Amino acid sequence: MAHLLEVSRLHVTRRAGAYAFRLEVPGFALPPGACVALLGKSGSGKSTLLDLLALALPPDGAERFAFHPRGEAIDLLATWRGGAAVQDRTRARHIGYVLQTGGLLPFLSVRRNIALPAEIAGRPDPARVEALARRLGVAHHLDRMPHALSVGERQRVAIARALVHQPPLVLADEPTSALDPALAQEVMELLLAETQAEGAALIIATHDHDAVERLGLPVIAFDITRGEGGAVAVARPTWS
Amino acid sequence: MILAARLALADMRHDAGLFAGVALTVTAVLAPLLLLLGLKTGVIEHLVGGLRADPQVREIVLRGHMPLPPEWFEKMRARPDVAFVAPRMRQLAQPVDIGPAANPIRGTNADFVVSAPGDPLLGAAARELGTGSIVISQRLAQISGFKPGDEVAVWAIRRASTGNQRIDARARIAAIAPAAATQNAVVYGPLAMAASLEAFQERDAAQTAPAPAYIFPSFRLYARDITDVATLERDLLAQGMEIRTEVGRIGWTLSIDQNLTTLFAVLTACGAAGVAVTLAVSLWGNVARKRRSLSLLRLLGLPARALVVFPLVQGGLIALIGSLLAAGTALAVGAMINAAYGTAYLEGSQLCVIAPSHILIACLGAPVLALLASLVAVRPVLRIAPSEGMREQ
Repeated sequence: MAHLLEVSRLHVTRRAGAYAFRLEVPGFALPPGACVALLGKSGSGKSTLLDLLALALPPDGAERFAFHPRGEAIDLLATWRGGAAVQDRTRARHIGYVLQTGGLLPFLSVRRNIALPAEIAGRPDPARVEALARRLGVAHHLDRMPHALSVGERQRVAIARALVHQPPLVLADEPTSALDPALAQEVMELLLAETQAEGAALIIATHDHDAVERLGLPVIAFDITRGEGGAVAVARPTWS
Repeated sequence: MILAARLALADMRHDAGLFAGVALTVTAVLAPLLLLLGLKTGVIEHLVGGLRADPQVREIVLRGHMPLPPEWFEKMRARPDVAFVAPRMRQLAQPVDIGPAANPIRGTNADFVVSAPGDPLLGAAARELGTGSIVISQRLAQISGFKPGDEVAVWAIRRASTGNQRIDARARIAAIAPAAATQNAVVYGPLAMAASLEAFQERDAAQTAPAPAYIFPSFRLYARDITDVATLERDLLAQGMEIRTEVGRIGWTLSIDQNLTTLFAVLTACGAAGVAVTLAVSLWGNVARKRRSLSLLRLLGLPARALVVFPLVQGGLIALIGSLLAAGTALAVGAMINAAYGTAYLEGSQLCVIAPSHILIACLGAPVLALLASLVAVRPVLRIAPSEGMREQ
């Protein structure tokens, strides 16, 4: 069975003045429906890798950077050479996003926030919006605006939004860092359970070592070497 | 695109107070402009309308006499800037008498003026003129008691050695001339009737030689429009005529119109610039404030070109709401101005005339202006990257 995501010798360098940060990903492959944590301190490169996977940051190069959603074969590296339409379509149809905070649009109701990815993908499904909201325990908030919800409720809405268009891949960027520990655990478990129930693969960037251990998630770890004028981070999977 | 437009509307609803403020700014500029334009239109329509309604303003009067052959009248009649031209007969021979056809003994003394269909002095009444049909002035109708439809005799008298002789013409009174035409007792009749009466008066009873080719001494000439008077005046002066026109009064009114139009154009340009800058700044500001939301939409897969719809829709809608409010305000205030001052200043005609076309131009022009202004927000929108949506900056 083909892997959902195949990465080898992917690298990117970000510069800020004289300081350069280089991320190297020797390689990993993600089967459909699998779950993996990008584990590392802040500044270790996990956000950079997540941006690369989200098609939000162009890599400098890769031997292989392939995405196989729903039987399609997309060369993610090639989309950076004049493939803006493919990128928009890939983001819209095949990827769900759960962000740290404020990932909801403040001017849309909870219902329209959840429905939005399905509408952008051209597959609106009001019944599914309601079903997801019920499963995530936010059905009674559907017609309220996001600012009226607690932080934990907003993250539940964000999970529903990430899943509404049935993407094969969900990217989560520090989804629980703004929550207190008890709530963080609850939201993390909900995220895992729901993505698994939907059959979607999940990549979580987090610095919460304990949660990753408790949930027994496979990990891509970031080893960082600081040198003069910059740092080099290498992201290696701990499995294989 | 449609989804982006719906999102832009949702954003406007969410920030209704802010957008209402900008729309009211548009109203605050447009409403006084519409009112000023309405006042200008009202005053100018009153002045110009007064000039256009009075045919005597368009009349070109010859001072003294000038020998004018029939060909001259043909040439003048053919000019597009001439509404009507008719010969005037010799002054001394003009008085005629008019009496009932059944008993033409005692007549009423009247001047005879040559007229024809199309004579602006007579207005609609001129259409009835023809062979055997005449129009009489109101004064003559009052003195003589004749009504339209009456059969009359019109006669002229000449003195001969054998005593007074007279020639009669039979006619039907077709209409009464408008009061503004003259205050005198006047018969307006066709040229043929006038010519035969005059020929009889001027020729001696014994004279039998045929009348020489007729030369008229003067004319009654009306320009097609008040704007044609100046050209006609120049051409007739060039023919060596001494003439009198209302060109001074016409020029004064038209120059007021022109000056007010220029002034208004300057005001409109200032207002439009103000509206454009206000809209551009607020739309640009809105895009800057909504940067995180817009980048989130990019991250969720909305193409950059769809996001451009955001400021365009918002700008267009703000301007439309603002201009509709302005139109409503201007119409309401205009109606109040008319109720309060209309009768006092302009003899009952409307002081403030806000034409539907002006409202249409405002309500179409403002959104077009807004679309142009919102173009300043397009570049920043296109530069918004999906990566900005990933985390709070």
